[in-house]
Amino acid sequence: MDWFPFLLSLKVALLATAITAAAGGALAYWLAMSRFKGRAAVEALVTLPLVLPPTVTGYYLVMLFGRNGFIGAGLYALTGRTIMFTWWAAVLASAVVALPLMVKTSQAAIEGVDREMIDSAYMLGYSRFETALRVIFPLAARGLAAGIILSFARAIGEFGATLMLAGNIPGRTNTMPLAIYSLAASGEWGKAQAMVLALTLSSFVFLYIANRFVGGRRK
Amino acid sequence: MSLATRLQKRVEGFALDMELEAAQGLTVLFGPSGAGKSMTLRLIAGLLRPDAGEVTLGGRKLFSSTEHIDITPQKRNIGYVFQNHALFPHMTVVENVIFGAKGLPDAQARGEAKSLLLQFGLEAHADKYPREISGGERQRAAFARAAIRRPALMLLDEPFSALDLKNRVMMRGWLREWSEKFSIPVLCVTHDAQDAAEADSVIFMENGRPAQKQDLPVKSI
Repeated sequence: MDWFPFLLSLKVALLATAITAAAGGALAYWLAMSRFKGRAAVEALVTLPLVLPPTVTGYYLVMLFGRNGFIGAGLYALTGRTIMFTWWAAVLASAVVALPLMVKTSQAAIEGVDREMIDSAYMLGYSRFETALRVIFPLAARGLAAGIILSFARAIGEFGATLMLAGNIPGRTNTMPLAIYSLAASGEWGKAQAMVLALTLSSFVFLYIANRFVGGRRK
Repeated sequence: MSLATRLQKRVEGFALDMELEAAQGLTVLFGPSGAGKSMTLRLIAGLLRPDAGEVTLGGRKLFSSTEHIDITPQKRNIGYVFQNHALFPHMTVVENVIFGAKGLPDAQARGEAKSLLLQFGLEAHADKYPREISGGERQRAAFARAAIRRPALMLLDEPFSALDLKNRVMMRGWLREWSEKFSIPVLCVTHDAQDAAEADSVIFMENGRPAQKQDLPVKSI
C-alpha cells in the first residue's frame, strides 16, 4: 500500500484540527459571550459550510484564495506563491469545513457555563481573558473536546472542498479520500480496499481513544 | 468605610429606583422575591450598568452617570457571594480560596487561605471538591474566597437560604465580626424576616423601590 496518502491525511487533519480548535474556540467564545447586531448573520455564515455541499465551499475558497482571489491575489503579490494545489490548501479546506462543528459544539458548552461562575471570577479581579482561560474553558472542556473530536473526524474525511482547492495531485495533495476515489475510478479495487480499511481502522482507533478520554472525565 | 448609592435601571417590565446607604456592620436588604434586591447588588458590583445614578464606596466613586465614571467589576474591590456560592467545580476548596487571592504572592495567598479555612472550620475539607462538601460548608468556602483579598465591601445574595439554624447563627456572627475587624459594610440580600431582624440595619425594598427604612437596635441573639 502507498503510505503517502495515509500520512498526508493524518498531517492535514491534525493541522486543520489545531487551526479549527483555536479559531473555532475563540469564535465560539465571542458568539456565546457577546450580544451585538448581526450576531445571527455571523452565526449563519459560520454554519454555512455544514449545509453547503463541500464543492460549493471549495468554490468560495478558490474565489478567495486562488491566485486572482480576494486574498490569494494579495498573497501572490507579497510572496510570489499561491496556496492553490499545495497541501496547505488541503489543510485550509479541511479547517473551514470542520469549523462549524467546532463552533456550534463549543458555543453550546460555553453558553452552558453558569453565569454566576463567570461573574464570580470578574468580582475576584480576573479579566475577561483570564476568566476565559481559567474558568470558562475548563468548565466547558467536555464540549470543547467533543468539538475537537468532531472536527478531526470531519477533516480526515474531507473530499470535495479539498479537491476544488488542492486538487488531487499524486505525491502532493492526494489525501486518503482522494486517493481512494482515484484508485476506485481506475478499477484498482484491491488497493482501494486496503486504503479504505486503513482509513476506517485509524478513524475508529482515534474516536475510541478520544471518547474514552472525554468519557473518563465525566463527573 | 461606607457605601452610598443612587441607582436607576429599567429592564423589560421592571423599573428600579433605589437609594441606599450602608455603614460598617451588617445591613440587610429585605423584601419579597422580585423586588429587585439581587439586581441592586449586581448594579453596585458593576455586573450590571445602571441607566443613571452613582455608587460611592469609602469616598471613591465607582460609578457616576453624570461624570461618566464606570469602574469595572474587577477593579471595584468588592467581595460578592452568590446565592449558589459559585464555587468552581474544577478546583478544590483550598484552590477556590487561593483563586480569590489574585495579586498576592503565592506563599502569602497560601497562608491566608489556610488561616481562613481554619477560621471557617473547613481545614479538613481543603482538598475536597465543592460537590463533596455540604451546603453550609460551600457557603463558608465561598465567603472565604470573597474575603481573602480584604474587599472594601461585601455583598451577599441570599447567603443563608441553604443553611440550617445553627449555621445561620454562626454565619451571621462571622459576618458581623468580619465587618467590625476590617471596618467594612456587609450588605446582604434576604427575604427571610428572621435574618432581617438580626441585622444592624435593614433596608426594605418592594417593586424596585425602597419601601421603608428602619433600624433594629435590639437583637434577639
